[in-house]
Amino acid sequence: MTTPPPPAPTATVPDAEAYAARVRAALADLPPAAREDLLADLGDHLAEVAGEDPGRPLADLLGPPEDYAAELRSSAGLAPAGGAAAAARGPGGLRGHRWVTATREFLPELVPGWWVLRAALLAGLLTAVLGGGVLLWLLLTAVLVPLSVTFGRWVRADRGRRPLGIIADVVAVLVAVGVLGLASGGSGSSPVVQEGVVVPGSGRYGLEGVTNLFPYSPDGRPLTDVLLYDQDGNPVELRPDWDAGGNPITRVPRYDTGGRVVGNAYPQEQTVDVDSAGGDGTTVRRVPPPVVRPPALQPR
Amino acid sequence: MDTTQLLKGVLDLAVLAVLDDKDGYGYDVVRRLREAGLTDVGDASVYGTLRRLFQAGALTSYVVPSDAGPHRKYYGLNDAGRAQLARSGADWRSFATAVDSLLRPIREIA
Repeated sequence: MTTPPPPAPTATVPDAEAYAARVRAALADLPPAAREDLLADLGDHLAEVAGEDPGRPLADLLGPPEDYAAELRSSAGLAPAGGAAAAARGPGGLRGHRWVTATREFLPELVPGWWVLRAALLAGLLTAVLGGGVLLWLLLTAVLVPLSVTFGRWVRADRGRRPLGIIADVVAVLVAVGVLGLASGGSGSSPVVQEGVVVPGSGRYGLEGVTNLFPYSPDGRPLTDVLLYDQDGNPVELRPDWDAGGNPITRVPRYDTGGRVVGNAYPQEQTVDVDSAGGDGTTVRRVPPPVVRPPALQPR
Repeated sequence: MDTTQLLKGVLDLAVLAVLDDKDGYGYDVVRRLREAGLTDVGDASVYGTLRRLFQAGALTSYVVPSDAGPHRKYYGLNDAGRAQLARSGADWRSFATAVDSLLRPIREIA
């Protein structure tokens, strides 16, 4: 590298130097090489900025040096502050970081609790699948907890096993979501009227292959959130599971003001899971509205 | 709409585009981005982005002495930077077109 040029004799340079020093302090936890690279020309750069508006302090132009440092970190692709090193050094104003550190310190203590919980969740799923009751669930939990804890300790013993642990945790979370779904769905199987008119893309009502409905106003504008009912006052709920290409469709639910799902609001917002080219994993794509040109209706 | 989140995603591209037009030093790049309409762009974000792109080998850099103020470190694109600009530019165009086409029906409703 070239030798650093001597600072130009302008009145703003001391301000720039003080500002740069505070930025440097806020980046004190970075590895020295990364920090020095980042800060190599910062003084010159700040002097430049200050020169644009002489007389105004840099903190006015750029905000607090600590915020400037945080922005610098994220744009330069470096880790955010908040590690133990930053908190230990903390020249004031770092109470937030200390709190973050405390949280980080107690998180590992919760991990064994998670091992027990995931065993209970898995037991819940098995119980639901087998159609058993609370007794079976307790029994399965008693068997699975030692297995889960043993597995957890085995994963923890070796960094290389971490991916296995993460996979197990993801599966457990998915199971948890599934168990909750079963629990809420099975709690009160409601009568048909409340379920709405379900048109599962069958030939019923001549709606075969219909996955969504797009209402338009008489002057041809697309309408949103139109609530549809049949002749008996039942909400008409299309529940498409698959598109024409056999890809699974997911509906983005609408809710009423009481937080209940409204299944008969159209058009439904939908996404479709499309098999990606490699056949390995899927891509979620928003289902676009069709391109239509509705006729202009004569007035009644 | 809060544009700072959007900026984060396209700042690399915007900085490359500015430097493709003409080499520039840190504050000059900030000013040209703001003049182009990215008024919310932060000085630290641009400085950090320039350092990162330089580290990644997309930029060249040279010092130009100045008798009026501090010496200025200029940045310019090298071949890798130009290739990155072309790639990201194409990605951005298709992304922007897709978002535009999503917005069309909304405009009709409004």
